[in-house]
Amino acid sequence: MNYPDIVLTAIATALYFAGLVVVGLEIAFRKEGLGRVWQAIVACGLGVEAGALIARTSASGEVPLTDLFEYNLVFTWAIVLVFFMLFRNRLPRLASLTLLVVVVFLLGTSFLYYTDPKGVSMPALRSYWLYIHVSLAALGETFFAIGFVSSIIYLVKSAKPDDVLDHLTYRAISLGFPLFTAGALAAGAMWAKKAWGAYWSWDPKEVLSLVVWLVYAAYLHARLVRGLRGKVLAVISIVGFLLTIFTIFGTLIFGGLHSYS
Amino acid sequence: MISLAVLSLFGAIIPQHGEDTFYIEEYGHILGSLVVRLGLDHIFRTDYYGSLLVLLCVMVFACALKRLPQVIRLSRHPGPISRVEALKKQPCQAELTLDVDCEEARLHIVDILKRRFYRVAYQVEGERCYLQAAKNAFSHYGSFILHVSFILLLAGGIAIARFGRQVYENVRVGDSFDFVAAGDETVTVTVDDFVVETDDEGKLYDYVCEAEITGGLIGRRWYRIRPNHPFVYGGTEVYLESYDQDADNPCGFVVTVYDSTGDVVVPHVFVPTDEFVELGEANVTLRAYAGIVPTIREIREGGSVVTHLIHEDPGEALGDTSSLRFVLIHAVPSLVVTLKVVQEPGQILIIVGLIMLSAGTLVSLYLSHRKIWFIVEAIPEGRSRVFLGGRSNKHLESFAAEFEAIRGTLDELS
Repeated sequence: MNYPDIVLTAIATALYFAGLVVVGLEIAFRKEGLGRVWQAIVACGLGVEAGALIARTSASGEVPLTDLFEYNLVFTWAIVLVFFMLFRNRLPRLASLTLLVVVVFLLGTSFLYYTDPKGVSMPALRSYWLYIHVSLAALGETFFAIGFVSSIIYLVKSAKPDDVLDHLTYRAISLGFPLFTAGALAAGAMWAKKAWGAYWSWDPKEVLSLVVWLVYAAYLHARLVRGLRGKVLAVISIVGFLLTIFTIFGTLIFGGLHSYS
Repeated sequence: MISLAVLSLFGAIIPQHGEDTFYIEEYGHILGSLVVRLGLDHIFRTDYYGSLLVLLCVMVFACALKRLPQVIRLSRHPGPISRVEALKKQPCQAELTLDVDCEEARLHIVDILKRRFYRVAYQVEGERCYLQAAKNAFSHYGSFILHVSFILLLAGGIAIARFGRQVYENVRVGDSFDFVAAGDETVTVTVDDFVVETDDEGKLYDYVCEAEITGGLIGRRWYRIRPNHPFVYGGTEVYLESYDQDADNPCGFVVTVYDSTGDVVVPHVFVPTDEFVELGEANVTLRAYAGIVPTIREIREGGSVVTHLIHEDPGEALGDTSSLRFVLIHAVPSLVVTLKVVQEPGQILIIVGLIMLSAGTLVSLYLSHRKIWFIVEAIPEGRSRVFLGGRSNKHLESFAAEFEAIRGTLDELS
């Protein structure tokens, strides 16, 4: 564990945790001045995490998308970045708090799966499909995370149909769903064919990804075709993201063809 | 979809295709028996899972067909709106007075809209002109494409399951096997070598099976079959699966056994697997020996133990082994390259289905059908008044911004 990536990841986790505490204080004591403080802390965390990604890439000589530690690093970085760029000002403070809880949890657990960046990499992962498949899936799941946060806030705060949070959840999922479809399912199937000789092998991760896809497809179908709004959809969005997390960590429990990730 | 999701979850959580006893040991008698009886141990091959998939596709197909006329109608170019009141009912509307005449205003509007990739049509009636513009009408077909993609994927899956073929070929270096490609052409694959490639730092880089391919139309070619780089010819793909001990036809360590007087009793091949294999004088066919009594010995090469695990039948093969001395003569590698030969006739359906699945979600969720109507009427002093209104079937915020930009550009003429 003498590589800078793990040190920088630890610092980023600490910064996000500090940001989480400050947001909590801002909400608890209604001190608006703290808003800039936690935003600055989280921005620093984002920068340090980017440093961790660069350090890892530099040490391994490969894009950091090959195992669970690297995936969590990229995933959490994307969540914070997308949230800050697109959704920070549209969602209440409670959303920032919830999002940082998710990020700290994911980054915190990633230390359990830390791998030496100079370790043996699998020849099967040497493919341009890796970048397409994993990065698009991660980006799709990033938007699902935003949808998860806004759904929780929606249920906690307003729970009125046609609320702005309800609409934001839909926007986030409608952005994430095509990316997840193209990345996790379509590109995944194409790569699976190239690497394993079969588009679909009923591997646990494949099946769980299909389940996630079905849940979000049900969300969009219910909203766009049935015209549903409100609590039911928020619950589906929350279930969808919890299943997404289960899918990410599922290989640890079920193994299978994706067990290296 | 929910039923499929729930059943798929069972399939992901419960290990598939195990022995019945495994489930009873793992989950207890009642639950284990239930898993086996309900087919949860092979859920993706059960009739009810297949039926649900077929049902989903039938529903998707019926839904797609039912909505097709509506989709066609909605995606048609809009007709003109001739009443100002009707324009003002649109979600976005504006009114402008321009310092140009009706004809020039129309030309400007057409120009602005075309720059934004709108399809524009217009009618002139006396002192008035009606314009209607639309773009992304194709977005209505997004869900239709998505629905068709499900059907293609299922059809492809059925075609592969029904007509596809997967064969594993265990080949030693120097050996070969044949497959029949499209057009009944026999192709021979000979494994020339298996190489583990490393980079400059000695780090594993790639596994390579160097193969010679010969056949009618191919002639003679050399190909490096690697992970992610199968050999593809005539509807057949050959994948590098593994490089491992040959399970079907093992060979192993050649050991010469001496008795207490130093005479050679019999040369043997011992395999560090669970099977006893006897070698005759040379490379005769190797076979498993039934009813063996396993004993464990050490085989030493120099000072180091090569293997501990030897199974033999002292009674039948060697008699009393206590006085015997085992000497390792040489190790015969029992490794084989396993190549997976795949023929999947439904592939094109899968590929088109996957492309349509991605395109369908993109089109249906990212593209919005935007329509804008204009009424331009001439007013005194060579000027014109423009009424405009528009709507979008989704992404209203983004459409409102575009509408405002169009209005702003047009306003420069006032």
